[in-house]
Amino acid sequence: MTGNLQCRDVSVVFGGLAALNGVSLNVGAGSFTGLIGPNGSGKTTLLNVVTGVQRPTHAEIELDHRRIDHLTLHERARAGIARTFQTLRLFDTLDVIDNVTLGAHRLCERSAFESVFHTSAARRELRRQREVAEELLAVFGERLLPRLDQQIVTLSYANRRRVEIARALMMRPAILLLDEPAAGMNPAETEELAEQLRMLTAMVGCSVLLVEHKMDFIAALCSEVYVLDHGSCLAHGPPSSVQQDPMVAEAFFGIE
Amino acid sequence: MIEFLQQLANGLAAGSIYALIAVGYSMVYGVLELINFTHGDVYMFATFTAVSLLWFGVAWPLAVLGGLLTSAVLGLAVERFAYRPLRNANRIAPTITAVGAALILENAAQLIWGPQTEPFPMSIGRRLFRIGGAIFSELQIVILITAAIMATILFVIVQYTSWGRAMRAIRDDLPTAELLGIPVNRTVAAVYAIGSAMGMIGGLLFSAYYNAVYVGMGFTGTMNAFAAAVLGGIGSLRGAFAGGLILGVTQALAVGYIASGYENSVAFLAMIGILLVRPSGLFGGPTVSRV
Amino acid sequence: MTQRLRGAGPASARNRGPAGKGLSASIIGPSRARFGWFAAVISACVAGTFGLLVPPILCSQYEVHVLTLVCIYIPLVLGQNLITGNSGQLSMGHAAFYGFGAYTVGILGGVYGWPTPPVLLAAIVATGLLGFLVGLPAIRISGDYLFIVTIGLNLVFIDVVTQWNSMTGGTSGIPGLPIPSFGPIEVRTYSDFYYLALVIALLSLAVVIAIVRSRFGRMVEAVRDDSLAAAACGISLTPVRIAVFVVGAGLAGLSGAVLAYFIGFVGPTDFGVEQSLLIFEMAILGGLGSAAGSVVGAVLLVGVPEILRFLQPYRLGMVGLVMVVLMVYRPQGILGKVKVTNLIRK
Repeated sequence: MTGNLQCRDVSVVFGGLAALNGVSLNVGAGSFTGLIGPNGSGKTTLLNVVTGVQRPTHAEIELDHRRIDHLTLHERARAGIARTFQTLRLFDTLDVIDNVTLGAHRLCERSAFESVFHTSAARRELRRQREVAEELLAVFGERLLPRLDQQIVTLSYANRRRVEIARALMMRPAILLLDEPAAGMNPAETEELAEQLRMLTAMVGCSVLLVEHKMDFIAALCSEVYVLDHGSCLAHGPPSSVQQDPMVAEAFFGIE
Repeated sequence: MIEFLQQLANGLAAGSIYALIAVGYSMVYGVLELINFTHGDVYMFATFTAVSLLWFGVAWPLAVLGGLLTSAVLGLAVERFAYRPLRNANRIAPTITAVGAALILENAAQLIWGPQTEPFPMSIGRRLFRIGGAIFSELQIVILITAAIMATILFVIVQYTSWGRAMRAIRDDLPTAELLGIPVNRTVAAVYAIGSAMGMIGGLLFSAYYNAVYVGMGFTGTMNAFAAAVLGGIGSLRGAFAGGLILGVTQALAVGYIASGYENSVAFLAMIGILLVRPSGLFGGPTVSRV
Repeated sequence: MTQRLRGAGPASARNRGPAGKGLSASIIGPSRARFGWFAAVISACVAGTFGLLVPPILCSQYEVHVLTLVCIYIPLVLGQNLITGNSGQLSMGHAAFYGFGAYTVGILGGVYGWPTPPVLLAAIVATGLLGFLVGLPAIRISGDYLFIVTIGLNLVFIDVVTQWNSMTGGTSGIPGLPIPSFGPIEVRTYSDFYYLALVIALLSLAVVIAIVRSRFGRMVEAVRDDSLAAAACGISLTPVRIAVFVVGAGLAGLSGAVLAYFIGFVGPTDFGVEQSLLIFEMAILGGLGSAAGSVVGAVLLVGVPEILRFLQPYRLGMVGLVMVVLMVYRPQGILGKVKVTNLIRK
């Protein structure tokens, strides 16, 4: 089983302000790990450091016991790190199926150069990839399957989130980093999403680092949770113990 | 060595002209993050107007005033019709409309004054002085002094007056500035007017120095202004001024020691070099990198 | 119930209709393949017949001349559209590539007397190489700066061409280029040149459509739409952006080569910033991101000025006015799906 992520002593400091302060975090292979914390606690920054979007002041990051700190953004993607974005980053001029299929880029055996010549091998591979994409989208039921050829702009916010998740899973990543995937979803959709994520990640066989605000969502999915506050790791452990931790309560709700 | 000093002197004079034009250009970019492609063509048109007034025998202070008025009016018109409708779009659209507006100005100038090159109708400052081994013409000294004075005035305005504060507020955060009740339209108009006026002075000095008034000088002026601003640090007025001087000197030295005819190329290759090596310019602040 | 991800599954049969197989499906799209293929073939036949027969027979020599010019501009605008529309890079000095191709013909074909087919190939390859050299630094310079930089490069090109007398003939250029010939076939008359330009235009269109509709084409658009997300999918941005420059430049070089043979002369006047602006405007008028739009843009901005000859002294201003109006009222042009205004993420 792959997808073991180890982050040691991650710090991001600019000009005296520490967005992250020596945070260490572990995601076991094939497991579901949560990351929670109030706004501004550094959750997205940590994801950005792991994926290579942001250069840290200091960090040691290993994917499946191989250091990845020297790799660029797209190299880390090719190494098997997939993510979704808090602000939603889809390819707006492409339709749903194209968006999702592009996620399979790192798995392509037929080069981009070859695709220009529309060889039968390239076409076959693309067709296969589209079928896989449809399988993934089928997990979301009828929400997206009737909309494969539609433009992204015509989709609801929740549907766009689903497309982004499907695109990330197309990569067959070792680990999937989800940044608030349930944002903008009502409680019913959120519950549905939890079930769908479980199915999808089992299909692909990856581990997950889930950043979220919704505690029920986290508790339903994660075996372990990390709590960040003001750039430092406050607590970690199984959801039940974290929920009962008084320091966590104080950070979140200001309760003495 | 004398040769070098002479080239340096020539370069500084030409550079001061570039500096003035570049500062005028940079004002607009600094406040609005807008590549004002019409800068050169506005001052070209205004210079032609001033020169036409001189042809009609008008006294030179009035002619200069006429030119300044023209440049202010044109600058405001461009802002009103080409930029303001696109204020909420990103940077590309106004850049393109700027190009369009510049072309319209060039066409109009061509129709009014013709495509040929006219000599500058006043003979100014041909007297020569010897300073420190190099020969300066009176005109060159006038240019250097004018540039210094205008730059100082501008600096004072931007740093110490309420107009200047308003300009800086708009540059930092336009929507908030609006919310704070800063008269954005008026301030922006002032920026254009002042920027165009500075360009206009630069243009007049340019024509006087090279004894040439022609439609194409506008576009060349815009490109040189941009090169100077980039060299010195785009968005920074001091940088634009310094960049202009550096540009002038670099061109003079390159032309003197390497080959003539390649002045423009020297300017742009220097600009490209800076953008690749140190995008914030020689004196600029940190820039944001992109993926 | 969980299942491992497999290649084919029941979902694939669902909503796609008769999934077209083969090349047509690849380019036109599987569910639209049946109808699309038929319509495409018919319209191609009609257009082809019209294009091949009508002009030389029914049109005056002048009109054929204009149509030839339109066809020469088509690969040029397609290349610009590929770089700026599909790839979102504001490259503005396209006339330099145009000129480079023309001068390749002037030097290799005119001065050194090479035969036509290798000269054409050399024009495409050499200009493509120039595109590569421009693309390399271009990726490190963002958005509107690139606009200015490429204009600057255009000016550098003009400077070099005007000053390097021994190689390029300076301001006088290289006159007296030979008649192009492909083996026994000589291209002499107006009709001949029209056919040559038409064939090249159609081939260029085919190439560009093949590129845009491929997986690579999708990658190019993804990089344009959101480069961060594209990188997060494992797409390497630099090769994609540079490749587009190479192809766009190569197409422009081809146009330039045909132009040179057509006029029989190469000089610096046709390849300055004014020309670059015109090409750019054709691309945005037709619509960025649309190959058909590029054709429309070329037809409109070459054809209309010829028809309205009396507006000649206002040409520059008209070009400018169209730019302003387009940006304010319809930034996506006629057929485009990409608005110029969206090309930079703030």
